[in-house]
Amino acid sequence: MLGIVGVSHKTAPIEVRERVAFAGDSLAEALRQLVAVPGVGEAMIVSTCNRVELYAGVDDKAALDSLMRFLIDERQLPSSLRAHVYAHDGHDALRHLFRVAASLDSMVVGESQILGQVKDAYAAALDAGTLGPVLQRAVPRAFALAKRVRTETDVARSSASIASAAVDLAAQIFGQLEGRHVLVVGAGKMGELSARHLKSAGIGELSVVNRTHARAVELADKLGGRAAPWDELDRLLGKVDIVLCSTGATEPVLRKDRVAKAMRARKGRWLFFIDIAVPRDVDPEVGSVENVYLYDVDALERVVAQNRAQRQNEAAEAEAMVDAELVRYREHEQSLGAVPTIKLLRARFLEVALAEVERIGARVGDKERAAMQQMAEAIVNKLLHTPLTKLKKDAAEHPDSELPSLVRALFDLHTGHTEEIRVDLDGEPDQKKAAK
Amino acid sequence: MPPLFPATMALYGVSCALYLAHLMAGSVGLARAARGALAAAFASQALDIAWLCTRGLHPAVNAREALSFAAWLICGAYLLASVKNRVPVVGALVVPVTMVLDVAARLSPSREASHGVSTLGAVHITLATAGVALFAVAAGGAVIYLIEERALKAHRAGVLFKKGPALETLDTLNRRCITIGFPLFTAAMVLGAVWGVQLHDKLFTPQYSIAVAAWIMYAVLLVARVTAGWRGRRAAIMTLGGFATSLTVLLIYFVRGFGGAAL
Repeated sequence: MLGIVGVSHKTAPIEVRERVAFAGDSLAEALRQLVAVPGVGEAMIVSTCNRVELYAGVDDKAALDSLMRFLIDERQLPSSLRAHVYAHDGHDALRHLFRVAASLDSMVVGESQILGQVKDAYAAALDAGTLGPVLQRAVPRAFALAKRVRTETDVARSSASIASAAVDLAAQIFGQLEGRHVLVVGAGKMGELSARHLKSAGIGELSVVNRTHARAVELADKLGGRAAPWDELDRLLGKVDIVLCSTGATEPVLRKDRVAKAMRARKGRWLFFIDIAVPRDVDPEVGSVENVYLYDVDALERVVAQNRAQRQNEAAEAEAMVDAELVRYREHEQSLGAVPTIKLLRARFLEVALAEVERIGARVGDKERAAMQQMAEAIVNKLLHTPLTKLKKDAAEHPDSELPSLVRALFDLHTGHTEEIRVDLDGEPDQKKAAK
Repeated sequence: MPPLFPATMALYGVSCALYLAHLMAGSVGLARAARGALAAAFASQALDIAWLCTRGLHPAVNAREALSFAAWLICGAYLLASVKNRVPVVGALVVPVTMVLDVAARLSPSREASHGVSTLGAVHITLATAGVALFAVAAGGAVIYLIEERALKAHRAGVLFKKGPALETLDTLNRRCITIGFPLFTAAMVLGAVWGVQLHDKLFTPQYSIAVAAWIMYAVLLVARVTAGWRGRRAAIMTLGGFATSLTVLLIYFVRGFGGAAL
């Protein structure tokens, strides 16, 4: 069964998570040590800034305890920090995996990074050779579910930070941001962060003005933009598309009459002000100028809050998708209980049919014998299709069903029949070996 | 009833449902499928119009057919406009309007003689309807612009905030539709004047005067766009004013019937 042990932003502060985290270069060694733990046959480690989790195929509860001890001992956690570590197994572990991959357990629900991080962890475990049937079945199902959650719900659609909300708003006004000109007024840290966000969104030109020109030059160099003297502010207002304000001024730098004058020079072209300064740099009256859009910190916070609330609503829909997937997965797992009987039954039928082909085939040529063999296999497949489907369905719906044992008794099936026949997980026979 | 009318309506219905589903789910694939269904509906109605022409009838031979013809042209104008501007929200507005116009056309009685329009009249009606169809798409975009603009000014993130096109895209749609529609409408006005004098020996009938008012509004908008930077909200309001005025002319015709009357 699947077992998970770990810490996350929900159970542990950053100091604990830092202590437990696995560095990239130590991951392969940790994985190899993990699969050496008694009762742990396979393992994967997800280590991000918000969570450190060991995923493993474990034999029983005792193995899960060993997994917990491994994490505590390996990372040398003092007893006072052990309360931060959680453990899940079976159905709960599967639900946790699905929720993590679908970004429902993330600090910002719906953020896109976590899926890539779990994929990286899976690839690392694959490289280290520590994956087994439990993880190889469950984790890809979690990836597929996460993809469906992203495409079928709006959980990841809205921006969840002030900087990303500002970018979304700019896109709502201008469409494509490529080639747009941004003016950064002030050289504060917050302005720099937001400007970087706009830059990564693909804006074209970036100018910086600041009362202390040297700081404008410094910031422009960092951002790959151009510094301009403070007295060019009015000229630039007539040219740019987006103005990002973050000065330390105690009075508004831009008032309505100044912006209205700039708008006349712009012939009404849209102008978007992002004012993240406190106290504000842009007089609120500026927002009433035609084709001017003004968002201060409070307005941006309101947009983010609306988006977060919407994400929570969408998360409920995504949780329902997780529940449905869990039911499907459990049915699939249970149906695998009938697989040994299915393998035996198919092997018995093929054995009889191919023996007859061999007997009669001795009197005909190779071509005819190959055709007879194909026909015999097709007849076996058609005859067995309905009973095998019913066996799988019965096992999925009734884990304690006696039908598989009845079938074994009826056809006198025992494991000797499959020893010579390699059959894959879904019961498809390797026909070449079966022909032997 | 034109032979393909049920198929055309079914395709419009599919397109409408897909556009609404796009608005709910935000899927680009749904918007693409909706546009495909709309193109199929447009082609189907085009065959019906061709069928009408093979019987020697102008597609806008009477008020009923003119309504249906206008619906077809609105649909065509939207498809044309959406080649460069992907604005499925406008599609979600235009397709139901097209369906209502088509159904209204089928339900209204046909009163006019089918051969009562001269060639001059036929060209005039075609150009006028095409111009108004483009103005209709511009007006649809203007409505969405005003809703979105209001939400942005008030710092509210409504449905259109996330799924609607950008303000600049809507304004570009508006400019393109009016830039193409205005010459068509102007030509229709000139031909209408000639046709009116031929028929009634006078130029300024009430509907012609209203049409002149609509023409002036669009002319002012086009000039002011270039010279005074009228765009965005102001252009959207002017577009709606112009469209309401030109729609009044069409409504007068629809209520009174063409009856051989020109603009």
